[in-house]
Amino acid sequence: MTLADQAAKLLDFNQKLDITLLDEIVTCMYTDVGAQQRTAQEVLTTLKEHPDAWTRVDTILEFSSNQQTKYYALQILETVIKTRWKVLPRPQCEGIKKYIVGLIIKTSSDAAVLEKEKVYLAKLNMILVQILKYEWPRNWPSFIGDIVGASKTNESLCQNNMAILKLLSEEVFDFSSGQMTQAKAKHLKDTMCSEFSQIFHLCQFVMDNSQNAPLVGSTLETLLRFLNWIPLGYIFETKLISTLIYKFLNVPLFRNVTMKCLTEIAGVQVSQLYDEQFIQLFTLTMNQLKQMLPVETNVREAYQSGTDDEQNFIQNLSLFLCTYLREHAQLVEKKLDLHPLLMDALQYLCLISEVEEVEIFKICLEYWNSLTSELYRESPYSTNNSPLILNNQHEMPARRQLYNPVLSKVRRVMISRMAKPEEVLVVENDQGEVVREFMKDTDSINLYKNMRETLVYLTHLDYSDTENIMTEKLHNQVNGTEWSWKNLNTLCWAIGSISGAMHEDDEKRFLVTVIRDLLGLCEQKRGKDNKAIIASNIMYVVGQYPRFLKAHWRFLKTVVNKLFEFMHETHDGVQDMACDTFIKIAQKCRRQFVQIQVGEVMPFIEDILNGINTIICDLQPQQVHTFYEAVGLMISAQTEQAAREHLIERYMLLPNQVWDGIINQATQNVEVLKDADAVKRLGNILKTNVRACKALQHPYVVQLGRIYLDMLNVYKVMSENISSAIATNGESVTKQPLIRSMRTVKKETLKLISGWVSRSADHQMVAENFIPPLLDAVLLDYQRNVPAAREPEVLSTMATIVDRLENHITKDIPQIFDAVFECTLTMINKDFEEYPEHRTNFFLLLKAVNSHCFQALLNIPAAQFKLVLDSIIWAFKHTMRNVADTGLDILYFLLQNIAKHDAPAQSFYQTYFTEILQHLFSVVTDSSHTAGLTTQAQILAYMFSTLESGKITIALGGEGNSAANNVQYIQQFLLNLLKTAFPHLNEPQIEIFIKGLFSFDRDFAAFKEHLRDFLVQIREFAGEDLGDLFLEERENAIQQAQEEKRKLQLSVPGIFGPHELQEDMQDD
Amino acid sequence: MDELAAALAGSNFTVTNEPNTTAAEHPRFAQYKCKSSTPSQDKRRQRILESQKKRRFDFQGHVRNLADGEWTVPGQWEQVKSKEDGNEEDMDFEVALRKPSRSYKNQLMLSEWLVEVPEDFTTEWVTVLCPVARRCLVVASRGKTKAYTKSGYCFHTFISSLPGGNRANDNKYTDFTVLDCLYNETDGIYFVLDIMCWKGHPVYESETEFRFYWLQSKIDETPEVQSVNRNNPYKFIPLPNFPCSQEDISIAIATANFEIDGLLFYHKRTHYTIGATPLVVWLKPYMVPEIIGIQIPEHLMDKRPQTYENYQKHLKEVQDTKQFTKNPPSMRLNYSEEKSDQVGKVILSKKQKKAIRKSAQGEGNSMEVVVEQNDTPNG
Repeated sequence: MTLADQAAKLLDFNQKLDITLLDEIVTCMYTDVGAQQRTAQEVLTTLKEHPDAWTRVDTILEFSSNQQTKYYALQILETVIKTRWKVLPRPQCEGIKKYIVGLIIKTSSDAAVLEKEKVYLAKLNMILVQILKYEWPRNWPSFIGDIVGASKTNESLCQNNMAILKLLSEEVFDFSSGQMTQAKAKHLKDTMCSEFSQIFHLCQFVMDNSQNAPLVGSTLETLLRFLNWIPLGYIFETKLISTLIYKFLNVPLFRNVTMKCLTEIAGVQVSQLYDEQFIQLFTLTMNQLKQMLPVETNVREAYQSGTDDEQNFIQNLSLFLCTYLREHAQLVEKKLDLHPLLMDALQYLCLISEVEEVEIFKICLEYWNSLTSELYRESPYSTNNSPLILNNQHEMPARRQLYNPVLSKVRRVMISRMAKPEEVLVVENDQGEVVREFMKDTDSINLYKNMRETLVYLTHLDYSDTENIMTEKLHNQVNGTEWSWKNLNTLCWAIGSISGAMHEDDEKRFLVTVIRDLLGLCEQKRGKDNKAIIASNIMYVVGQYPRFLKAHWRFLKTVVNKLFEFMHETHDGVQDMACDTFIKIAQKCRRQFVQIQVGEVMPFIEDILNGINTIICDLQPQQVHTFYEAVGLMISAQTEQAAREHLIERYMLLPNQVWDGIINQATQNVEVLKDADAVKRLGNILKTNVRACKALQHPYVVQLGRIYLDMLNVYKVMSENISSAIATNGESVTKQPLIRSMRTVKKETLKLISGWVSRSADHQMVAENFIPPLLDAVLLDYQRNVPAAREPEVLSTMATIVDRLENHITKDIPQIFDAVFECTLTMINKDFEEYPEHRTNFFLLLKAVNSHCFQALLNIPAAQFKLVLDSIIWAFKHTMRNVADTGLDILYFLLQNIAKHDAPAQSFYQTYFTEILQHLFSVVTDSSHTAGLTTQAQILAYMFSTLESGKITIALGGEGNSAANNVQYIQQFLLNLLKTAFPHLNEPQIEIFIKGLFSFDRDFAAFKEHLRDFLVQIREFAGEDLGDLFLEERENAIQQAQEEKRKLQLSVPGIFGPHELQEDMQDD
Repeated sequence: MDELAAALAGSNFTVTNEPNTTAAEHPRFAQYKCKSSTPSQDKRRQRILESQKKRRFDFQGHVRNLADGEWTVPGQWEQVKSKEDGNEEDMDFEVALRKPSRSYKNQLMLSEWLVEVPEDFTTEWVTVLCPVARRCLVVASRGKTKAYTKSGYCFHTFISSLPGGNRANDNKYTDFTVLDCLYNETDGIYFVLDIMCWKGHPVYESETEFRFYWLQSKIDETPEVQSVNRNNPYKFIPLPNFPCSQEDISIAIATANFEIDGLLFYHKRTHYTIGATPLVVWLKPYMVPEIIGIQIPEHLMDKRPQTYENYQKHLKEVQDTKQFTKNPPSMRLNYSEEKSDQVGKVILSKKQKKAIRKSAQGEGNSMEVVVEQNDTPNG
C-alpha cells in the first residue's frame, strides 16, 4: 500500500482511525528524508486542515504511544480553538475543556510524570490558556478560584498550575496586542487584577511554607511575570521584598530568578509613596550581596571560569544595579549613611564592566552613559580647570564629588575596551572586482558611538584624568607591559574618540605626546607587520584631530606627504589605510590645501596636481578613485571660480587624456568600443568622474560639459552592443566579462548624471542644456532595447531628475512617460518578482512625478491616467516591502494632490474612489501586508474624512442609486464587500466596524487600533454568541469618539453650516 | 611642533625600511633632515656587489612560477623562508639579497634616490631617461600578456607579440617573457626599461650592460612588438641608455621625444635584483643641476615643487650665515648627528659638485675634472 493510499484511509472520517498507521506516518515525517518525508508531511497537513480533524484528537491522545503523534494532535486542537471555537456546539466546547483539564490534572499530579512529560504538558497548558481566552471569565467565572483551590491539594499539581498562571499572564498582558481585540484584552486584564489576591496568597503560601524546590522555583518564575502589572500594594505593603531577599537571594538554585524579580521591582516608577521600601530594597540586597560576592572579587575572572548559572547571575546583578541606580539613586544619595553601600554598588558595576561578555558590558555602558551625561549637564565644567579660572564658584558639585572616585575607574574601563569605530567589508562589485565597503550601523559601530559619548562626558568631567590614563597606557605599550596589536588599536580608538573634548591647548599638548610616543614605538618595534599596525594607528589618531591639523600647517603637510609615501608601500593594507586617511583629512581640512600658507609661494594643491602621476602610480583603481574624491574635496574649497576651474582642468587632465585617446580612436573605428580593455578603462574613468562630481558638487559642470556629448554617444554604442549581443546569444551573455564591463559604463554614466543633477544648483540651466541631449540618447535607447538590456538606473536617474528639477521638467514628463512607462509596465505586471530593480525604480519615478509635476499627470489622456492608477494599485499589492510602501506613499500623495483641483477631482472620485477602497481593504485584511498597516490606515482615514466632510459632491453611487448620500452609499458598499469577503463574521460585527471607521477618522491612533481589532476578528469564526466580542462596549467607545469629534468641530466656529447646527443649539 | 613633524617625516617612520626610498622626498631636498643609522650608499653598493657574486638562486624556477602564476616550483623556497623569518632585521639593509616574493607583488628592481654621486659615476654607470608613465611588471605567457603594479595588482590584460603573449603567433605555447616596463596609458605605449626573461631564458643574473644589449637585440629581432597591429595593440619601445657623461646626458635630455619623468642610473655590474637597491638610483630632472651639475632646460626646472625652492633659499641663508659665524657646515645642514663618515660623504659630494660646476663654466670636459679629482685611472 502506498503512502497516498494510506493517506486516503486516514482522511476517511467514516472509518475508525488507524492509530498505528498515523504513528507510522508521523514517524516517517520526522525520520525519513526526500520524497517519502514530503508525502508524509502532505498527508499530515491535509489531515490537520480537515474541519473535523479535531474530533479525532481524544482518540489519538488516548491510544497513541508516540509522543510526536500526540503533539501533532494537540496542534490540531490548538488550531480549532483559535479559529473555530465560537462555532463549535457548546457541549463540544465543554467536552474539550473538561477533557483538557482532566488530562492536565492527570499528567501533573505525579511529580515523576510531570518531569518526564514536560514538553507535552507545556503544550497542554498552552491549549488550556487558549480556551481560557474564550471562556474566562464569562463561561468559567470560577477559574481562578478553581485553580488556586486545586493547587493546595498536591505540590506537583500546584507547580504546574503556577506555570498555567504564568502563561495566562503572558498571554493577557504581554502578547495581547494583535491577538485579541482591545476591548477583550482590557476586560481580561481587569478581571485578572481584581482576582489577583487569591493568586498572590497562593504564591505567598508556597514561598513561606514549601520545601519543594521545583515548586518554589516555578512560583518565583510566575511571580516574576506578575510583577510588571500587579497593583503596587502587593509589592510594597507586604513582606514580599524581604522574603525574596532573605529567603531566596542567597540560595543558588533561586538566586537568578529572585534577582530578576528584584530588578522588576527596582524598575517600578512611583512618586515618593514607597521611598522607604525602595531604600530597604537597596540596603537589604546590598548587604546580602556582599556576603554572597565579596566586593573585592575579580568578577572578570570569576565570570570566565563560572558556570552558566553563575554567569547569568552576574548579568542579572548588572541589570538590577543599573535599573535601581538609574531610577532611585537620588534616594540613596540623600542619605549620607548609605554612601558606603552606594560605593559598593558602583564598585560591583565597575568590576562587572570588565567582564569580557559584550552583552553584559552594554548593560553597564547604558548606565555609565546616563550617569556621566547627567553629571555633566548638571554643571558643564571640568573638575580641574586651569588654576587661573579656578575659583570658588566652580567648586566641584556635591554629586560629582560623590561619584568622582568611581568615574576614574570607569574612564579606565572605557579606554581599555573601546570598540572598533569603523568596519570594512570586502565584497565583489559588479565588475567582479574585490573591493572594500564601509559598513554603517553595525553592532560594533553602535557600541563605539555609545562608548565614545560616555568617554567624552567623562573627559569633560575631568580631562586631566583621561589624559593621564591614556598616557599611562601608552607608556605601557612602549615599555612592553601591555603591548599587543589589539591593545594598541583599542587605545588609539579611545584616543581618537575624544577629539574636541579638551581645550585646544590641552589637546595640542596631549597629541604631541601621543604622536611622539607612537613614533618612538614604531621605531622601536621590528617587523613590517608591527610597523604597519603602528603606522595605521598613528594615522588614525592624526585623522581624528582635524582641529589640530588645521592649526599646524607644517605638520599637516608632513602627514599628507607621509601618506603619499605610504601609497607606494606594498605591505598589505597600507595603501588602503593611506587613501582612507587622506580622504578623511581632505574632508575636514580641505581649505588648508587651496590657501597659500605662511612661508610658501603657492597652495599645496598645486604640488599635489604636479605630482599626481607619481603619487597614484602604485595604487589600484578603487584607491585611485578615493584619491580623486579627496583631491576633489580640496578643490571644492576654492571659492574663486576661475581659479577653481583651472584646478579642475589640471585635476582631470590624466583621465581626460585617456578618455580623449579612446574617443579619438572610436571616431575612426567604432569597433574600438568593443575592445575589453578600452571598455574597462572607460568604466574606470567614469568612476573617477563620479567621485570627482561627488566631491566638487555643482562646479563639476565644467568637466561634465567637456565629456557630456561623447559620454552619451558612448552610452548609445554600449547599449546597442549589449542589445545585439543579447539578440544573438540570449540573455546569458550578460554574465560575460565584456558585457558586464559595458553595462558598467552605462550604469556609471547614469550614476554620474543623476549624481550631478542631484547636486546641481541652477535648475533652469540643467533643464535647458543637459536634459534634452540626455533624454534623446537614453530614453529612446531604453524603449527600443530588449528588456534584459534596459538599465533600471534609467528610471532612477529620471526620478532623481524630477525630484531635483521639479516643475522645470514638467514639460518633459510626457516624453519620459512615452518612453519608459508602458515598456516597463509590461516587464513588471506579469508577477510580483521579476526585474525587482526596475520595479522599485519605476515606482520611485512615479512618486517623483506625482510629488513634483502633478500638473503633468492631470494633463495626460484618461487611458494613460488609468494605467498610472492601475500601476499604483499594483504597487501596493506587492509583498516586496519597499515597492508596497512606495505605492501607498504615491496613493496618499495623489489623493491629497487631486483634492486641490476640484473639477478633475470629482471625476476622479467617481471613477476610482470605490475601486481604491476595495483594493485597500484587500491589502489591509491580507496578513502578508501587515507591515504597511500604518500607511494603509492613514490613507483610509484620509479617504473617510474626505467623504464625510462632503468634499465629494458627485454621487458616487450614480444617478439612480437609492442611498441618501455618499456616506451611506459607501457604508452599504463596504458592508456588502466585507460580508462577501468574510462570511464567517456576523453583520453587527461588520456594522460596528464600519461605523468606527468614520468615528475614528480624525484620531489616527484609534483608527489604526480599530483596524487591528478587526484583523483579529476576521481570524476567528464568530458564531452566534456575540458576548465576548464586547460589541456593546465597542459601540459605546465609538459613540464617545463620535461625540468628541463633534465637540471638537463645534469649538471651531463655522465648521458646521447653520442648518446642521440648529437643533443642537436649541437643545443647549 | 617642528620636531614632531620632523620625526613624522623621518625615515624611521616607515613600514618597509628602504634607505633613500623614492616614495619619500629626496633626503637632500626634504623639508626635514633626518638622522639615520643606515650605512652610506657607496658602502652598501660595495657590499651588494660582493654578495651578488656569492649568491645562488634558482631563477629558472622563479620565472617558471611567474609565467604560470603558480608558485609550485619548490626551488629554495622553504630554506629561504625560514632564513627570512629568522633575522628579518638583518636583511633590512641588505635588500638586494632579498628573494623574490611568491606572488606578483614586489618583483621589480627599484631605485633609491641618488644621494651621493659615486666616485666611479662616469665609468661604471649608464643612464636611462624615463618618460612619465606607470612602472609595471609585464609577464607574457600562455597566450596572454599581463601588467602588474608594484603591489601585484593586475591592471591590464591584453595580447602582444612578445614570446608567449599571444595565441596566434608561431611561438611555442611554452614560451614566456618577463619585462620591466613603464606604461603610458595616454598613448598606449609600454616603454621597456629592463629585461628579466625572454622566451623562457632568465637573465636576472646578468649584468646591466648585457641585459640592456640583450633587450635591444631581442626587440630588434621582433619588430612587430614595436608597432600597433592586430596581435599587438600596444607598442613596446625599449628605452635607450647613455653613458654617464655630461655631454651624453645633456644631449639625451634635449632630444627626448617624451615628457621626462626622471633619470635612472644603473650600475653596470648589478644583476637584476628584487626591490630597492643603491645600484640603481633616480633623480627628478630639476635635481640634476644641483646633484650632478648638468644644466637642464627651464621648462623642466618649472616642475620643481615649492619645498625644493625653499631648500635653495635655505641653503643660501646657511651659506650667508656661515661667512659670519664660521660654524662647521655640517651643523648648519642638520647633519650634526650623522656618523662622521657620512658627513664626509656629503662634503665630498658637494666638492665634487662644485668641481663639476666650475668645469661646466669653463671650456674643459667636466668629466675629466671629476676623474682627476677622484684619482681614478682613466678607463
